[in-house]
Amino acid sequence: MADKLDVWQGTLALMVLKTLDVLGPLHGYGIARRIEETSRHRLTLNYGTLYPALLKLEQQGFVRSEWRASENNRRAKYYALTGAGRKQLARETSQWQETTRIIDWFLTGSPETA
Amino acid sequence: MAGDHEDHRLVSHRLTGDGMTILRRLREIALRVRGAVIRPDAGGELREELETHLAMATAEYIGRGISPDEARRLASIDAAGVEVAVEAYRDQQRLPALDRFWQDVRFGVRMLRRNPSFTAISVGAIALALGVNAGAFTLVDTMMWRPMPVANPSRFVRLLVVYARGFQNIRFSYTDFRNIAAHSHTVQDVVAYDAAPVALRVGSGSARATTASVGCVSGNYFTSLGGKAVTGRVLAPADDREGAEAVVVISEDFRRRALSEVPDVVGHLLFVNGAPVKIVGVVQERFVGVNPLVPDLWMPLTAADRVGATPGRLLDPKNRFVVVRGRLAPGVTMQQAAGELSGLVAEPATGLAGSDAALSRVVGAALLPNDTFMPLTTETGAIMFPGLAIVGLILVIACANLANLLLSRALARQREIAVRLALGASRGRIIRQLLTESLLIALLGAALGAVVANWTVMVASRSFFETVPRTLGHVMLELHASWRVVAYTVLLAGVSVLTFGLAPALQSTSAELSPTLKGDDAAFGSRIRRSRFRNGLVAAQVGACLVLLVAAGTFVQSLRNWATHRAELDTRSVIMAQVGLAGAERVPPSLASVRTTFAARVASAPNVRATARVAVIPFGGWPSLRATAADGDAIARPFYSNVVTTRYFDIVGQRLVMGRVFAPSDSVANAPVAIITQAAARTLWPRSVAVGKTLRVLSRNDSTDHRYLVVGVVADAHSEMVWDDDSNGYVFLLATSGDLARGEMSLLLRHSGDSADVSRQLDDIAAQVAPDAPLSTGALSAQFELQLLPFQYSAVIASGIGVLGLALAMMGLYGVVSFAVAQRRRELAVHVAMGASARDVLRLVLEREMRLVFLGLGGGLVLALLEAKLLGSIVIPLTSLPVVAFAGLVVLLLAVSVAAIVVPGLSALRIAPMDVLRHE
Repeated sequence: MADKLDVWQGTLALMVLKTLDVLGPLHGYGIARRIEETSRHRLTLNYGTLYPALLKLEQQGFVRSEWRASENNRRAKYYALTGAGRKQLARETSQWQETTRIIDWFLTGSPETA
Repeated sequence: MAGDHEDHRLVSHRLTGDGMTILRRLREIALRVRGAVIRPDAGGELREELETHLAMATAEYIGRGISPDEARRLASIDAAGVEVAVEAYRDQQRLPALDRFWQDVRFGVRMLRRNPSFTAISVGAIALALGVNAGAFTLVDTMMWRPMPVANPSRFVRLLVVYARGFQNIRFSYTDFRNIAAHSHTVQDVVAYDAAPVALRVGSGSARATTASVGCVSGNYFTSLGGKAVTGRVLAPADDREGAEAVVVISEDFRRRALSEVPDVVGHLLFVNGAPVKIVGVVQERFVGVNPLVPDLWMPLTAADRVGATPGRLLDPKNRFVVVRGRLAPGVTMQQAAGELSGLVAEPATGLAGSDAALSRVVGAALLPNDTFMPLTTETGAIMFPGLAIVGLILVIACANLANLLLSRALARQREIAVRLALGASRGRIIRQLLTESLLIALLGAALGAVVANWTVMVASRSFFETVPRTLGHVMLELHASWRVVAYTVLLAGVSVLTFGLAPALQSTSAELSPTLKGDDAAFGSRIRRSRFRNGLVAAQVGACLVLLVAAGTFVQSLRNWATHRAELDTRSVIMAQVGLAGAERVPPSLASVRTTFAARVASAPNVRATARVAVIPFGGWPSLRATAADGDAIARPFYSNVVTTRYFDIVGQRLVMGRVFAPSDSVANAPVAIITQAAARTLWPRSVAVGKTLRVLSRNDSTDHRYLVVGVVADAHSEMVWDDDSNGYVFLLATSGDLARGEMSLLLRHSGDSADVSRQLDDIAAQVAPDAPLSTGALSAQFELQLLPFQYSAVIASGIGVLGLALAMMGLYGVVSFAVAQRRRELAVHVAMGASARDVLRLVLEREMRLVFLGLGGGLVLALLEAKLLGSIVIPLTSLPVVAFAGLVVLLLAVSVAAIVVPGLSALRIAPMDVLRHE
């Protein structure tokens, strides 16, 4: 547990969008759990990182939220992807892949011919 | 915080700059601004959400078999810090920068309230300075950027004729106007305008005719410019046809003044130059037209021609007298229009190339945008902008003052600032806080200054416009603030905040913490040193002040100079009178004979001691002639000249120095005789007696010269427009019988008794000899006053600004010196303790401060000399300030500076030296 990483804000937005895309409407705890699990517990999310990021996504119109009852009948705020959020996810995903590919080329020094 | 998050973003996210993202970002900012304003409760909802989160996490731990208490503890550790989260959430919800700004504003308002005297002084000073600037800018704004009050002004253009010589002129011939109106495809709604004085009789009864101003306009004038009638109708194109009934429309102002008893003015008859014309409507007060001098009535050009308001001008293609404006057709550029119009107005080539005739040929037309009364050109700019720069100096002085005031106050707040720094406030944060306070001061000042300036300018301009003679029309120029004035004032306020607020804020936050907190007198230690900046402030104030005083001095000096002209001619009890309209170029023989009869009748009236006829009245614009001594060198020099009858010199009280005045026998014989002034005698015959010599007057078109025998020399007396240079002297020629028969000359008389009685007599005589011609009379002294009036206004304004600058500068100097002396208390106390006398110490202080004063004076002197040159070269040359007056102003500044240094210096010395030293 000692080598857990904090999440970068920019990439967090991408992770949140992807999570909502895969799992559908979800509350903050669910998002946090999913991200931690997907990262095989290398990443940890605290309140102060997650909730402002969700608010920012909502302000930008990529997600919307509503209060409703959770599976065990607890009142929870659910976040859902909007149409704009879906487009943003596609855009960010391709950009991110492009970036990692470039970085990868640098680090491995492989594609001299490309 | 938002800024911190940015730093963790990856490169790829910086690359997403497409429009979509920008819009999303704007959406976020808008919501956050909204959040900053409505300030939603950040805690409640989020806390509930976090509570849910915690409960879910705890439940999960419990599900793994951990005890509830331990599960809750572990869940809390995982999620880390509710309060931190609420804080971060709130920052994302609002704009922290905006929050901080509001905090600063609230804090600033509290600080200003706690120090009412400081607030009053600083707001007052900046309000005065900004007010003066706003006022000056209102003038410039009205002249240069105020759109013309016409319908659809953006395509409206003024037309100009271009002469071969390169000159441009606004006046066209009527033929040109008709050509343009009928044939131009590039310019539409073409209107023509000319103002003329007419003799106007309101009723057909025994009422006397008076002079009125009439706007002679093309028939479409009102429909094109968008002028509406409040009663009846405006003029229509059909009114401007040959054979149409003669109709006029009148201004509301004129109806109130002249027709208040007439119940229904529409259909009422007026007599213009004796001819009956029918009123068809009253024009709304708002309507201005092409000239801010609004006439009493408007009539179609063809009707004006029939009643002799524009005698013979319509048919003469060489007579260029109408102002022409129009609207660019859709899609047409100014260049295209100028090209087409040039073809319509250009005259065929005549005369030899380079000859006078060839050069005065019209070769084309030009267009200017007509969105202002006064288009911005090099000349108008050269008049306006130095004026703005000079009043800007007041702001410089006030800013320097405030900077000093704020520095001194920052000293008093040193402890507070140190505490805040010690508690972890960043320097930038405190500087922002101090600047916010300065901004509050400046904005309060700007608001106050703008309101006061707006009111002052409105009142002053109205009182000034009232002095414009009624016969010229009614000035419809409303001087009031526009958004440009407000923007300019706010801009100046912003600039001044940076000037007066930034340096004190920087200096006062650079103090080291510990000595301040320990209770040492910060001024005593070396932290707030007298910087070069503060020294610069003192010097700048003194310099700017000198420049302002020189401007004021120049106006006052010019006025004083011109006022002495009054003493050179005896204007008391002198009245000028003219029957019929002045300025009509060709006087009909009937009017000429009326004028002769009138002059003869007035000469024999009681209370009239002497009369004379003059071509130009004194203090009018005299023509100049080029003359030389017939027996001397052939160098011709210009002299102002007048044509007068025999009693002229008696009437204006111009003393004969040598020879004789004109005799009745000279008149009878039409003798070519002249009388010159002493200055002219010196110019023409520097080494001999002028009386008996022959004067050769060069004719204008190089045909034959005229020779005159100089029969007398009279004392020098300024008789021309007050500001013109008459150092060559004057030449008076005796009126010939031909001059008198042309009937152009005015009557001048000296009376005894009450001038009102004499005016009544003149009225009676005029009513008998010419009931249809208006009589204009006036005191000669009034003619003189009228010329001085604009300069009196300028002198009062310039002096006010000068005194204001002086007061502000001295306040500043006083403040700086008090501060400096307070800072050097220990040093001075040591001097005193060592046995130095108060005088020695004072000298020490003076020496140091006066160096700055001299520095400022040096710089100011250079600027002031430049300024004096500038003032001397504007349209009407002002008398330049004599060296003595210059020196006087410098001495005045020095004296006041010494006082501003000695007074605080002395008060500081009153403190016992041991007290100061013990404070250690």
